[in-house]
Amino acid sequence: MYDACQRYWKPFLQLLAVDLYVGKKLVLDKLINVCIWVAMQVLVSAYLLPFFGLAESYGIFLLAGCCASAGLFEIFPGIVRLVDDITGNQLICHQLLFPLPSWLVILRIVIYNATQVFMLGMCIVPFGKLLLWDRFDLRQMSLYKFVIIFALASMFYGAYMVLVAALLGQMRKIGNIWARFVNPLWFLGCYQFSWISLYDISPTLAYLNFLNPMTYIMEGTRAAVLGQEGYLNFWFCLCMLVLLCIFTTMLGIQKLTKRLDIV
Amino acid sequence: MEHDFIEIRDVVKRWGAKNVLKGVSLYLKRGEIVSLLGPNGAGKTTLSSILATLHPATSGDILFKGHSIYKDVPGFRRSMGYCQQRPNLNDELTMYDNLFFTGRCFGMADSAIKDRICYLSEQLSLEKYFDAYADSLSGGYKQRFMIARSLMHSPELVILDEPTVALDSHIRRQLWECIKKMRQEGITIVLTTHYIDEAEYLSDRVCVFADGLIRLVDTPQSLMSSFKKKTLDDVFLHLMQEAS
Repeated sequence: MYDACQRYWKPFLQLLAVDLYVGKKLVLDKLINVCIWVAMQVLVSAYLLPFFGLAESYGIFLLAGCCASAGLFEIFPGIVRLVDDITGNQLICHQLLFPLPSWLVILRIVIYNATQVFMLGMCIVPFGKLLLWDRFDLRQMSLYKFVIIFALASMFYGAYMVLVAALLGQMRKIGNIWARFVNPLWFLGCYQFSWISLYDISPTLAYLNFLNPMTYIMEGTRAAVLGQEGYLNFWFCLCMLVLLCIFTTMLGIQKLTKRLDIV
Repeated sequence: MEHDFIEIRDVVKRWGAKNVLKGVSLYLKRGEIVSLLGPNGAGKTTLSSILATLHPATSGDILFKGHSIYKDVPGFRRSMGYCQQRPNLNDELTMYDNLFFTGRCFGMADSAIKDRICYLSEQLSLEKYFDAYADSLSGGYKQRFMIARSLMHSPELVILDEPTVALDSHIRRQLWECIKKMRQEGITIVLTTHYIDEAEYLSDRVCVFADGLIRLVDTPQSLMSSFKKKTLDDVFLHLMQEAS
């Protein structure tokens, strides 16, 4: 194990460094996109929807949801990029010839996407504070809990991206991403409601919602940003996310390995 | 010359229900150029990609210096360079960075990378396009950079999959000279090609494929004399007629 780490860590980090070097050109664009999306969601829900009868705190509630789900929208370009490469130039076939086991080459795609999502997501909280100002009390937020849960959420998004790209396989099926892989997860994943409020209406639906990974991301993030009261237990969400990250990463690597038919 | 530099043992490859390779055995000597010839779909590129450890064989084995490459795939990859048929340079990097980062991913020191790029640049006349991106290069230069990239880590074995396809004849000739230089440096080369003249000019041995099987392996001269033909092209046509 130690020998393998010694042999592989340098090429692995270099491959990751190339991705980050290339990816940094797009960071500003991505940051602007995330800010626009968060601003639209938060401004409407905090300053407009209360006139239609919604609670004033709904803006803060949705801000936490934005933090949790921003990465889900980042996976779309990631999937397009990977599917485009698999079906087009196949730069990945060059990368698979480096002195690394193939699963590590794929794992680095997961980690690269997770890093990108994590860095973008970290900007949302200060941006949200600017938008909501005194309506958003930072004292109720636990920074270390937020960093841990968001790092795991980012890892899940990175793995989910690889899994969906492997399952999709063809550019002509790109339209399926939103309808089949993103929207159901997001819309049914406690974005607009908390799990406890769903439980009050229908315990069956609430328990079914445990099958949705977004439930743990949303509830865990809200527990970290807005305080534990009214949300699923933070540590329960954390444990479930760890399991989901491991499962999705392994499944994504296995499916992409099979899709590319690689050694 | 060693007989067991590379030994391909009864390699079978199935893509779904299709049997692409039906039991291919071949050995490569150190420092020789072996051309894989055959019609489309004969299995040349499949064998190249299996030898390059990109795709797994369904059955069979490949030995490198007497040891199965599958026992240490990353280790074998350090000794092997693969120039794929489809130009897959990183479009987001300059040509220099494409070479530089490839060197780094093979664990080379920065000074060694710079020296190697300098050397390859001289051999393949690359320097004036170092700052260019792949989409602004002609097909010939893309191919040169592809070859340079596969040589960055000084491999002992290089697999060139149709390196001159769709190139002008004068650029093909220039690339032939590059390939000859590689051979003079002692690199073993597996060359997949559709061009018979290319195989005749470059190869020490020619391996003729048809329908997933090797029909013949011999030197171009021996093939021409044993089939009593004037050119390798005539031999190839004769073999293809026989196969069909």
